[in-house]
Amino acid sequence: MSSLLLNERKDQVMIKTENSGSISCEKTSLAGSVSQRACVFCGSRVVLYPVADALHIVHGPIGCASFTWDIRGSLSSGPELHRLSFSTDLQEKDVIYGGEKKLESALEKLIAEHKPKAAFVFATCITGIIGDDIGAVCKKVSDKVGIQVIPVHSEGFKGTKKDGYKAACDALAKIVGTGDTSNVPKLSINILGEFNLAGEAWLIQNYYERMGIEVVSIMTGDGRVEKIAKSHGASLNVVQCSGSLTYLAKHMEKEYGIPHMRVSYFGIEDMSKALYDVADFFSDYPEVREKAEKVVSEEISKIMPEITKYRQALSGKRAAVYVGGAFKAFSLIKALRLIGMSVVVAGSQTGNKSDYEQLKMLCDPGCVILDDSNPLELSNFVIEKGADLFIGGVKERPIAYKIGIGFCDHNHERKIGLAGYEGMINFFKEVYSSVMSPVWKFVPRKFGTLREVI
Amino acid sequence: MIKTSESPDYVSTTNPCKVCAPLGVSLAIKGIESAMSIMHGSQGCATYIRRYMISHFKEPLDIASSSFSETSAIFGGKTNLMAAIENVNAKYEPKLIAVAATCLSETIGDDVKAYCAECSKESNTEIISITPPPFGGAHLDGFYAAVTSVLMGKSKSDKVRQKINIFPSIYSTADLRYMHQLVSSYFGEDYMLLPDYSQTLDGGIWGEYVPIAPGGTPLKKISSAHLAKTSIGFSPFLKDEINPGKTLESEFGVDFFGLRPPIGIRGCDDLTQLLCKKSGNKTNDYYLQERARLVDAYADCHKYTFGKRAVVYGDADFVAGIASFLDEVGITPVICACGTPFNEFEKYIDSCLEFTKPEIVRANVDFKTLDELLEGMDVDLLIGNSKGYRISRDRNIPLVRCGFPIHDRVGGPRFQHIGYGGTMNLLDHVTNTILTTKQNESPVGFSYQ
Ligand code: SF4
Ligand code: SF4
Repeated sequence: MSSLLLNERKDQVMIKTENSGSISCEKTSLAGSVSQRACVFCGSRVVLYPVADALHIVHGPIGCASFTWDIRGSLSSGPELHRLSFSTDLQEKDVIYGGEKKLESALEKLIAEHKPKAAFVFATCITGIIGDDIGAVCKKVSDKVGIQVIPVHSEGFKGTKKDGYKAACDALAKIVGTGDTSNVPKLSINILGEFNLAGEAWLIQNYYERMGIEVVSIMTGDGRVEKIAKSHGASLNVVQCSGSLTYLAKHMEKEYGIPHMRVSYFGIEDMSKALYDVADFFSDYPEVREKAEKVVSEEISKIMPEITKYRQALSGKRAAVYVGGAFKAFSLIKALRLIGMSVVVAGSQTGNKSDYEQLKMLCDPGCVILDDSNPLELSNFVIEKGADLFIGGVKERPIAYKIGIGFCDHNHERKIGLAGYEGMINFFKEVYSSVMSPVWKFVPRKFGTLREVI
Repeated sequence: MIKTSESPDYVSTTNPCKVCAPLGVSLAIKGIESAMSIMHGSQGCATYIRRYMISHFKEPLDIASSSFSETSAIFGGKTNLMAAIENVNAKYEPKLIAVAATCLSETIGDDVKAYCAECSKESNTEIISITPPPFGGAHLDGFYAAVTSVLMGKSKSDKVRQKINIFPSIYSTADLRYMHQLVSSYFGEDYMLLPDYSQTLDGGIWGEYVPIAPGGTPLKKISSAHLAKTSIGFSPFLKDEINPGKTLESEFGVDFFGLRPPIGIRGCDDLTQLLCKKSGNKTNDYYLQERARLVDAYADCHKYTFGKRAVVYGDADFVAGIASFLDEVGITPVICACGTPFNEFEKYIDSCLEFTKPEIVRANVDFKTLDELLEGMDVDLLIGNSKGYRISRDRNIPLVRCGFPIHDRVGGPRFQHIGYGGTMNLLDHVTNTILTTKQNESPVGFSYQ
């Protein structure tokens, strides 16, 4: 292990044993380490992206916008303004003379053309450096056009992706509280940190509705400005995904006294818990709990036979998991256990101390735990631990394939819904088709190269 | 009057038809033996570039970053760059490190060149700085800036290793393999193809993870490039300072020929002729037959292609190449559009066409503009990268996917566009797309054509 790891990274990797200590994390990426992380801007952009009736404009040179055009699989039931990429495409002269005028004119024209319900203006590294007063431009335009024009302070270098989540939450917080809550019932929640990839949010909303609970806003899944604006009328914030929307939940707790709870919709156990916890929150209404039990038993009985089938096929296989937020890793470990698979490598880009403590408790002895890892480390541990499957994002896919093992995408670009009960089956199906595919039998590590074969 | 990002009535660049220069730099560097690139700026640029290229090549693309923090953005990124170089050296053990300036480092005025020179002194690795035009420049500029900087920055040898240098554009890995075959049929081993990511970005499965993929233009050949007799390039419109062939010509007197893209019979003939002349060898039977088959295929297909109207978009030289092929089979490239500013684009496209005339030739367009241009036009085909899919879907015009990037299909990097063989692929692809539409729309649906 020593030769593989850069000195500065040694305490960001550990192996779970009886007495392993704690891992170091929440550091900025080491220069030259080929981190799998992106930037602050990326964090903000992915969180706000699913607000479908807002205008999202990237104030910076073209790359930042090009790379984030239509990148998430977040679905909208109506407007699709979020799927267009708008950029001020800064040129050298803008960098010299400032880009405020350009931004102002772009905003005015785009708002007139697309009639969005609000506009988000993303700062990038460059606008951070040239000192454009984005806030002032937003205010000026907002006064003129009569919708909220909100600066997102997402200068790429000002921290990590997590700081981008916070900037996005700050932006959303400006919309929250501006709407009319008079028709919001008591039995109501907001869903935070759900991005409606492949329609997942709709599935979850449906479970809650069957429990008699109204979902006021999903904020960032099939998001609408109007619903976000009145979300402070809900009784509870249900937050998924460790990092991204917690700031907003905390803000709403402080500002509007709305309590929040953390849930995960991934895996049967966690999904059911997410429903029961909400039911228990509304304990004054015992019928909610009854309905929740009904939803859970109906849904589970639908998928149980299939799960048994997958367990028979996959039991004993090993997986490596490397995801953005650590919370996702917890759910994955539990879900894989359900079909008899163990996790032998687990890591995240942005986990914090308590995340890693929990991760350590959850995983099996011998599991390698990594923070902010890179291709060289990942591939090495995956081979060493004999994993049959790698679960991660697009940047991890070629690592898995190059060393000849299956891969499942668990990132925001995927097009298959993995949340909820249906999602569980989708997930197992994908795990199954990745691990059981005959193609892996032909890779050199197993089959030999042509020279070895003939 | 077209609104561009420079004009006063500019609105915004909507759905861009370009990515940024550092992406081109990293692609070019991937095509050099044992080389590694560092994006000198914030972490995001490097990671985004990797993600974008991985979706096309489906291969690992390790690109390092000097990971600017707020402090480095304010006080300069020298310390970070030094650390990045040290760490890359330790883990990847490259023979060459290319450091690309990004918008950020340029804006704060970091002297990347001086930093690299300083680091080079203490390191066994050659460190070369690349400062592509950061704003306004796009991936193609970065690509050629990298090739030119490496050529000029790399130490020189006095050993002659090749007679000819070939500078391909952003071609597919299959294109590069074809180019190897073709050129070696005239020159044996006495040529250099720079860059050459045919193996580094399209290789087999490994036994274990390899820090830097095998393959790439041999460093030794790069060191001897100035001693070659001739260079050939295919993007004649490049500014001199990022034109590798021109630069070698003016600095070292290596004759440079800027050809049109080797797509279509005329483009391929130009190249073949030049290779014959410079090598003194005859074209071998394989290519004679390949060309004969291509002309035969033109005849087989002409009824389906003649009079059709196509829209071509992408990098300027790609558009010119495709348009020139379409022209040969009687398809009018009614709109030719490239995503970056290019004053003489119309003249350039014109020089490639003989039998047809485009209605609109326009540089510096985004997909929004392209979509507006299409309004009310009668068009049979779109030809270009995956990013045109939205227009294709909205307007119900079939899309022939080729070029870079192909993000929504497999095999993009394995598609051969150039040479007689590549032109044949294009012809089949285009004709079959036309036939599919015809068959789908036919009330009868014949199974013979
Ligand atoms: S800052 Fe420049 S180099 Fe970085 S992604 Fe944006 S356009 Fe590309
Ligand atoms: S320039 Fe900054 S904001 Fe844009 S992609 Fe690069 S790191 Fe992110």
